[in-house]
Amino acid sequence: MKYRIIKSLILSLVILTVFTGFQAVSQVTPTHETIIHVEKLLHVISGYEYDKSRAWLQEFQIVMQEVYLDPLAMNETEKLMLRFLQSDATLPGKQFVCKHLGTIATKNSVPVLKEMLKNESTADLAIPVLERISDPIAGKTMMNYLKKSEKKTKVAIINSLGACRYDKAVKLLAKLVYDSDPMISGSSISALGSIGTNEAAEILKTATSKLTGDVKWQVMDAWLKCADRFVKENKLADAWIIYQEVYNSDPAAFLRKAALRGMFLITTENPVDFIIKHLQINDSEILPAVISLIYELPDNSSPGRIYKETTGLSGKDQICLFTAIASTGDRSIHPVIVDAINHNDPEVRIEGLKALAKIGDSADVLFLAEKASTLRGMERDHARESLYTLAGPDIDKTILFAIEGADPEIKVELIKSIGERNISSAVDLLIKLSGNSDPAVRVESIEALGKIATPDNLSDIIRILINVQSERERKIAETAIYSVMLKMPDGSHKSKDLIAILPTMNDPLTLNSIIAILGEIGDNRDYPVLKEYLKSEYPEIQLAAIRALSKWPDATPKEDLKAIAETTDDIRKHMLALRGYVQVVVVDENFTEDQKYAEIRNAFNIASGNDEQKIVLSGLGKVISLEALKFAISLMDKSELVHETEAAIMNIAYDLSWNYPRETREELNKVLQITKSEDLQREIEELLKTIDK
Amino acid sequence: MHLSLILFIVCFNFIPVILVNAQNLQHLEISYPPPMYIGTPTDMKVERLENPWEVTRPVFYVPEGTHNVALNKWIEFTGEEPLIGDVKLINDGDKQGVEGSYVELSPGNQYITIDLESPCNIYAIVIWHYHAKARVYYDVIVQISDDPDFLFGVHTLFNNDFDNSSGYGAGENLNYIESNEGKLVDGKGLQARYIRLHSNGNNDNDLNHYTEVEIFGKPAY
Repeated sequence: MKYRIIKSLILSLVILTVFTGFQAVSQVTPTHETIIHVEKLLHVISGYEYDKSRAWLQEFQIVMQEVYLDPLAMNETEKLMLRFLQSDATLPGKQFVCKHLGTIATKNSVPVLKEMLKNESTADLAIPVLERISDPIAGKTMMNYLKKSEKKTKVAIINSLGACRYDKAVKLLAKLVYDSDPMISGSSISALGSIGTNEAAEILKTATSKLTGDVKWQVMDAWLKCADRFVKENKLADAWIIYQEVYNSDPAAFLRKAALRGMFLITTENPVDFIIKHLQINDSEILPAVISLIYELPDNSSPGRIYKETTGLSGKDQICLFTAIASTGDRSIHPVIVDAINHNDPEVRIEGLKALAKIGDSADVLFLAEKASTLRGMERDHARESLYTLAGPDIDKTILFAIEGADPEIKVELIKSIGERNISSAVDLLIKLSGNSDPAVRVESIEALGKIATPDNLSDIIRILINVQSERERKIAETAIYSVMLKMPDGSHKSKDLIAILPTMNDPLTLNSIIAILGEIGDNRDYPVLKEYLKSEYPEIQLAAIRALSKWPDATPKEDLKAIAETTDDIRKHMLALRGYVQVVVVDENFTEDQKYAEIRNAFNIASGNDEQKIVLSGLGKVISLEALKFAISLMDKSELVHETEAAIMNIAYDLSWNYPRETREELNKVLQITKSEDLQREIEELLKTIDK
Repeated sequence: MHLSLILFIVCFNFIPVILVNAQNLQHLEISYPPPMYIGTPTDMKVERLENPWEVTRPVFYVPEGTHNVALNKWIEFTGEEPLIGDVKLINDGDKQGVEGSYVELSPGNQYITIDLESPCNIYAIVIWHYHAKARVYYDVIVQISDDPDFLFGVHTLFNNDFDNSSGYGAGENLNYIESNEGKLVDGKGLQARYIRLHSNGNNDNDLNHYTEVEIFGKPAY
């Protein structure tokens, strides 16, 4: 019995193993799928030319993202790409593949790339790939080929030897530094700088004394690159020597600046002292570079004393200096900046205002608000900007505290800053200020409320709308309510509160405002309520409802708008409703083109006069249907609408021709027989050519 | 003798009018922001485009006392809330064209309406949509009216919506390239309280931008 159980267990195990093994073999792995995809795409790309579609190339780039995630796929893709490069694929195809091979190539690619070096046209493709292979064999291959190659290829190889930092090439490059061809010598100098070994640095040092003119500056630039490399390798003493030698050799300004920065970054001296020392030299050529070092000072450097200990700078240099010091947040520069803000040169004043934003504190709030209220133009903008961005724990509190006793103009600036700084705790204060006796204070308060109030404050802002004292305040209150409603979650009934107060609303102006806001929101849950206002006893309310429904985001109001356009005797209502009718039909994305066409035909029948027909024709031009095209063509005999009809025909035909090329062609041929307009004939002929393609 | 009489009558009737008008007119002073791009605009492939090299702004005369009546006036706009900036930037006097000085409105066919608060005689409207790049804004229509709904007494001063996509008729004005000089539209001294400016995206994207709009006029009453 026991034996039988063991036997059946073993049998089950064997069956299971065979079954899962079979599954594993038969399953197409993701790697396999990727490889098949790459292979297929390479086949297509083998015929790629520059004037052909790039769609396959884009797909290849997407597949390569999968390849990068899978080492096995990378290995297989490399093999496929190498086979591709050995095939008779087009040169543009090979160029594209080489670009991607560079991202995955290993030393296995070297033999194929070496063969490519022999041909001028493919050497250009192979060199960048070799450059990216980390194995030294790639550098060796390039170096061996250097002597045999033509000038253009030679320069490319030298650059790549530098880029991959192949240090065994240093001796060879050393000879090429003195080559008579400036391209070869220039690239060799640069390559030595990139390689950046002690040996390369020595060669470049020697070259600085042998070469003259621009080439000498080129050598020094490369030598500085060696110094930068030494810094990374922590060979600071070696780096310092190079920086100092370049700086003291009176080279071109850009080299002195680079050398100075190099010294600054590794100096053992106090960096603030270092800057002061170099500022005191007062060399106008490198002064901006010295000042810019302040931006690189470590935190807590207290650079304020730089300003005190530096004398004799020109006005512009002084601006640069205090701006740089202010950027570090050192408040000791504060008196200097206040002086700058009161300077007689507007440029200095603006820079002072900008700098104060960096180092100002709560004590500067009123100062900036006062400046914002008295200055004009860019100075005012900068004063405001600084007030809005002033950082610190007590700034908001100070603004709120200062409002009470401030003069009206300053009060307005402080209120503005509440909105810009989003001081959410100020809602109650703003509600109170919206009833202030000063109109400017009221306007700013309502506007700031629109920025910081939350949906919880909606009823307060509605109350403000009811009590506004001017048309401007009304418009700002409408905007504020709308802005607050937009802060409600998507899908929620944002206009619920507005709908709720509508029955209690007796003031026609406020009612108008609320209807306008409901139109902006365009929520179908509000539609039945709004629709009732089309029957209001007040014509202005009816008009407000028509305007609101005309902005509706879909065709829900179309029947009501159509009915008004058809039946009303009031020309204003008729015109507004007709415009709205066309508008809501055209914007409704759920309407089919046939539905849109049926409605536009109705609108055309309702339209009276050319101006209204032009509006309908504009809508007709957005309906992509054969019936719409035929209808537009039937209107070609109306001479007063000829341009609009032709425009509608072409608008429809362009879109329709994608899905109905034959039918569009037939209709356009009819137009060609009717029209006398040469412009239209030319446009149609161009479109017909496109359809033929 | 007969000819001299005719000449005398013509001179007698018209010279004083010309003199009076000449006394009252002054050169319109527009302050231009610094140019944001330099050089020949690239080949834009925009239909019906005016050649910028053939267009030189003529000296534009306006009556004495004409000023920018749109400064800080209320502006309404269509579409969603601005994607960048605030509509106040349109008439705040800053036309630099840099970040922070223009407003970006919703894509597609949109318009702004400037309320001058009272009727004004309008002599010139200068529009800077966006001049940091050589751009062309499509379907630019400039209308003025005393009617906030723009149903009655509407004067269309400029219209390059040649395919009537906005529904105000096919315009015959040419497309133009934005520059630091803005687009000057002759207001012809017509009286209006509201100015409506339409646009429908540009050759770079579907969005609508305004850096500044200046309306040179005088209060009508």
